Amino acid sequence: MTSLVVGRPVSSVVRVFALLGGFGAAIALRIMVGGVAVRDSSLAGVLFAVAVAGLAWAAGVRARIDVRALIGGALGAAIMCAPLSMHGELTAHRPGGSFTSWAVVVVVVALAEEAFLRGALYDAVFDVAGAWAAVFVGALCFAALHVPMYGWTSVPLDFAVGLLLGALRWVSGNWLTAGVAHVAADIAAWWLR
Amino acid sequence: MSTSAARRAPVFAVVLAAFAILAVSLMHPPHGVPLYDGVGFPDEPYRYVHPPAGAKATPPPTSATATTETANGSNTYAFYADSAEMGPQISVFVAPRSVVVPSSVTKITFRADPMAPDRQPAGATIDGNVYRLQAAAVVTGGQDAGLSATASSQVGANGSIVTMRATSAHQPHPDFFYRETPAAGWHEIDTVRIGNDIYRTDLVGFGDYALAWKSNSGRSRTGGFSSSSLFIAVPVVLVAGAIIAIRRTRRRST
Repeated sequence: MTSLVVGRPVSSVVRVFALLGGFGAAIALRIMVGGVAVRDSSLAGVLFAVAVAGLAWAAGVRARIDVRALIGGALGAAIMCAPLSMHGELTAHRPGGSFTSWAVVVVVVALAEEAFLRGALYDAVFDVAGAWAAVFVGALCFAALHVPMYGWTSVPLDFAVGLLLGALRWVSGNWLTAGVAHVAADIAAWWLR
Repeated sequence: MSTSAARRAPVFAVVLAAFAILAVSLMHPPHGVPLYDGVGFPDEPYRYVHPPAGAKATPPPTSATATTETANGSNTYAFYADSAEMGPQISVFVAPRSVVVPSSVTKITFRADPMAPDRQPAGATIDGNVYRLQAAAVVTGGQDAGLSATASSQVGANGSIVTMRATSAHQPHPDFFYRETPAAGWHEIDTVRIGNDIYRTDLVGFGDYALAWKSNSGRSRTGGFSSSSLFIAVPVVLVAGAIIAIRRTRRRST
């Protein structure tokens, strides 16, 4: 990493570490609010989303809505749903509760995560070390943030999914492509299990 | 890197990542739905065998069943059995080599069936259904793997666990109670809260499991922030500090 950052502006390197530090603090906040029920806590999820969206805003991330992002995101979601279709099944058992309120939380959290990971953090790491490093670091962070919810066994799959979302950001030049993929895959999980 | 290679690199990354997802899915099948944002599904209302007055109308509760192979007098592999509710009202994980059966047995069927509570534990009230865990064995040459087969089996608690969902997330939480047979008395066993309304205990044997509220547990208290919530200020301050630092680096670079 040292050799990669030599010659880069100090402010770029500082920004990467500030983003990573803020991200770690946002995860800690989520765990503290959610406690043992962190996976089920909408409040913890929304607070986490506000924290990472704030970090993304501070880094100057903006949304650019275009058709390519929607199409690329839909294709990405199809790949992300592959584990469900391979091992899950469509069943008549639907989750309880309100789909609308659940979906609102899911959309807010997923978009905030992508604005941060594939927006702010991707751009900052890209400036310092290039696209491959930006994809890799984003995937590592994506896997790490899910450990408190799903345990260590989720790391391989979430890391692979993080790689895909980073690659979608790279190929499209727009974090919203990854955002659309993430949101669509999560919403599809309501019907896939 | 040439221009065309540079153009191909992100496409290559997408293909590589897609193969990684498929490979991981084949090697480590996800247990349950992998939600990528960490916000869980809302549970469906609790399904009672005998719903109390005022309970929502639901389909009947389901059983958790599994069939597994045995060799040399015990189960060869670990196995799960989940009931079909969303989320499951009972989930049992049985570790390898923890069910002891006669050596002639080649397969066992396992099930956890919901029952209405009959007798209450002393000083406690059962929450929701009682679940009766039982196994039956198929002897070599037996007709099928059904429960009509006979052969007694025993279970040890070496890493095997029972997980049950309570009817609500009220705190202080309910505790696990166990009885070996319907005629035996209930006794309390260790309980660990692992979710909003989900509790885990060791599989101590076949028999009846129930969550129950102890009469002195102060059930009406519905939680709230404890004194440790003061520590929540620490990550909030750190996030705010990071936001300020990022804004400053942006100003400097422009």
